[in-house]
Amino acid sequence: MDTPNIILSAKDLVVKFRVRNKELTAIRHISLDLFEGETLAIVGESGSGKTVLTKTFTGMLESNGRIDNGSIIFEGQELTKLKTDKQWETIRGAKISTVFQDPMTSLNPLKRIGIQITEVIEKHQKLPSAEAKKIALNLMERVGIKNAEQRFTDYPFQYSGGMRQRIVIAIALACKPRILICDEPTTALDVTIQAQILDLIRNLQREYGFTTIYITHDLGVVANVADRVAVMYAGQIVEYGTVREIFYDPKHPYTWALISSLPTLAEKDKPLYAIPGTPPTLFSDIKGDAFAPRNRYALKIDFEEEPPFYQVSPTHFAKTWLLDPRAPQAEPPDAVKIMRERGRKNTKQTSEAQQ
Amino acid sequence: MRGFMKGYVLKRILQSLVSVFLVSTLTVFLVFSCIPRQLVFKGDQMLQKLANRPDEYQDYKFRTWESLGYLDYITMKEYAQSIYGNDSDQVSTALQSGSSFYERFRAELQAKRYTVEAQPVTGYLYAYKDIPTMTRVLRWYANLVQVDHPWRVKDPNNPDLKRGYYFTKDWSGMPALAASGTLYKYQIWIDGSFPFLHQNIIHLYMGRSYPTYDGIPVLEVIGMGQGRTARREVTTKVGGQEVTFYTSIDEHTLKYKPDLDRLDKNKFEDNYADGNNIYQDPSMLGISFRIGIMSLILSLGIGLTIGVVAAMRKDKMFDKVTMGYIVFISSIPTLLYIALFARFGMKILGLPDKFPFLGAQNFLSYILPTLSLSLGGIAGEALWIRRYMVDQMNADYVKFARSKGLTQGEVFFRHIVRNALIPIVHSIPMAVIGTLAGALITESFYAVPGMGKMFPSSISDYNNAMIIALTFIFTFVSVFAIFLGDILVTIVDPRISLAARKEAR
Ligand SMILES: Nc1ncnc2c1ncn2[C@@H]1O[C@H](COP(=O)(O)OP(=O)(O)O)[C@@H](O)[C@H]1O
Ligand SMILES: [Mg+2]
Repeated sequence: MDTPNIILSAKDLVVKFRVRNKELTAIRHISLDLFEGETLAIVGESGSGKTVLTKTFTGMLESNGRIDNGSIIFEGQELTKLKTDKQWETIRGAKISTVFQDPMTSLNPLKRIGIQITEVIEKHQKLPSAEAKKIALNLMERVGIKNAEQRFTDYPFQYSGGMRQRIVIAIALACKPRILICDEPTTALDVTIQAQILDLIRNLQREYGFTTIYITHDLGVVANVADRVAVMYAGQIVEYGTVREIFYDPKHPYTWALISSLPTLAEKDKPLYAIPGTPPTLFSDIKGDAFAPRNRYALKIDFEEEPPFYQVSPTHFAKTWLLDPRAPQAEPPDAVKIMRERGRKNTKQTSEAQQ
Repeated sequence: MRGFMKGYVLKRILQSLVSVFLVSTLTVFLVFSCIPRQLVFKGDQMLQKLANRPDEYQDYKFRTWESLGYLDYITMKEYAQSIYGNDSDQVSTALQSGSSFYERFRAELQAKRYTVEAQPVTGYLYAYKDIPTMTRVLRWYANLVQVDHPWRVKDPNNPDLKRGYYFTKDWSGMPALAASGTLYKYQIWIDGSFPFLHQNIIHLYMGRSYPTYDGIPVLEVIGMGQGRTARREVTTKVGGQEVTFYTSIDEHTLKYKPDLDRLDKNKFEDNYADGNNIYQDPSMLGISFRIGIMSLILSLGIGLTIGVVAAMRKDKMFDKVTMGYIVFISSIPTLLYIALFARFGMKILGLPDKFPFLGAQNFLSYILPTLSLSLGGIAGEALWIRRYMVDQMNADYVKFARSKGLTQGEVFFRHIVRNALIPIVHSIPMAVIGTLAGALITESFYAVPGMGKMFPSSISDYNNAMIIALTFIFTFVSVFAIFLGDILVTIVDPRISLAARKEAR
């Protein structure tokens, strides 16, 4: 693989919220490069800051939140400097689009579907409405709505959940954005629909060539959609690498815990693994490794000093003291061992196939 | 109207009529069964004057009760006249003391379940029989709709009365359909006042007013002008001659008059000479509607505007002031804030704080009553729209619309305000009903001669027919408002209109 283009680059990002005169730090010094054309999955328990992180890319933080530190460079432009809607106009919905979790509520229930699509086309491309309608109908067909012409004047409640999410995707892609952020786009849908929507996004990505950030709390989905994975915990990225690296050779105990809780790996008769304890409060400073109190592999230093990122491979990094040369060898949980085994087989098969 | 709506609208009209019917029946029944007949004389001046003439006093009471429908009443003299004819000598013979007619009267009327009593001084007998409440309710309905037709007038002294319809022009030269033999001369006519096409063919009759506006049908009391009569010059033809005179008579109310005097004959060609006056001031109904509709428009206009702005500036100064106003209005008694507002209006703005000071002709008279009536509505509408807006602002679709790249302003006006206005349509009937209820207070407070002032006073005067008629009107307006609200919602809310469409199939 030749060195990919970086389309968006966040550096040392800190996001804080004011809540009743107290300050909450939702994002703690995150740095992240997004490569053109890739699908990056961001996984982590809910509350870990996935949504907040991507909101900073479109300036959609609520009014009580602010970027306290860091920079976000997109196409040579410093996004953290943009303040007003006017300044965001050329980016939000035009170059970076977002698809939210709940298709049932993402559309205005009282406006016709067609208008909700053409609205964004007219806004960004400054086209007359007849032409906007043509584009919209085309989009509707592209996302798999049959009888688009007829359904153009329907209201959202006349659409099923899956259909609505298709419309939401159509709206998000209406202006051919460079980056599509999918914030848990299938969580509210049932499994078969989920698969269809994931397929759709993948096909559209091939066709339009946008870059996808795929947010999920479900590691299971990740394997099917992503090229790379970033694992988030308590406002930080704790490990990132290619899908293979994260699934078959995870290094951070938190990633281990996530893999152990995958239902597909659960042994029969044994209850599903759940990570004990709760994430730390974000209101106070976190000392050491945020995951330490819930981590049975935690070392003494985990409670005192925050670990740095250790490089595992040119694409794989993990933020855990376990990778320090001085650390004792830790025995990962069974699930991780199973995955490692699979990974090894997989590699063998592919290399054999190549030969 | 879209086809699918027809069935729905018809169904709702039917439901509305049934509601009006049920409420009126209940009111009529309650008024008839709960107000003891002794109470109705409370406001009657006439009766006081008769206090030292016991016979007439007694007779007056019974005649009043009869006319109000409480009982059937008959005197010995009337009974004798019904047997022997009006002017027969036998009548006076029968009434002489010691006459056997006394025994006959007592026996025959007691047989008909009447109570027979003697007058205190003359000893003449009279008989009465209470009418059961249910019968009175039925009679109220039986008399409710009065249809005029060319065979209505029966005047023995005028056997040649022509019967039939003809086209004519009224005094102002407008075309009209008139008739002879009917009670009213003009049956259908056009003029410049709402609703422009008028008719006399069907009249609602809800009893007569008593003791105030004694003897006039209550609906006329409510609907006729007030204040000083308005005279104008009229030119018309009598017996081929053109005559010109000044009159305050409203020709459209002309009714058959059996005995014409000379003055009548100078003005009228036929027996239709008994008309109501035109007055300078609007009727009770007119005044109340003017004030009510203006205040409703103000409530919605001002209330919705400040509610929207408050939601836009949530937690800022404007919002806090608005919320303060809403809390103030809803926490202190209506009468108190109206009184405060009236003082303010009088001292600071120099407006009259009683309607009659400047009268119905002066625009200034209406300002304080109208504003006072809308104070509560403004608070209500502002509160609701602000609430709906804040709800909408936190909705996911707003987040998504923003992420599409729409500015705050675009999202606000294209999505949020529009969506928040739809539930507001639901609140319009409540606003109308609130205005009706508020009118009872404001009109009494400012002495506005409207229905809102009439209502409480008719209750304290035991003006039964008036209570019933006003309840009927208020119910009708409320039910109509609810009906309109439902239809409007069906039109503006696609979710409901589609459900209705399905239902209609
Ligand atoms: N507007 C806000 N005000 C205060 N706290 C917020 C706000 N938005 C998010 N947070 C907090 O930031 C943290 C991260 O939230 P989020 O990014 O939504 O998590 P998730 O990973 O589930 O998407 C949570 O603790 C959440 O409570
Ligand atoms: Mg989230």
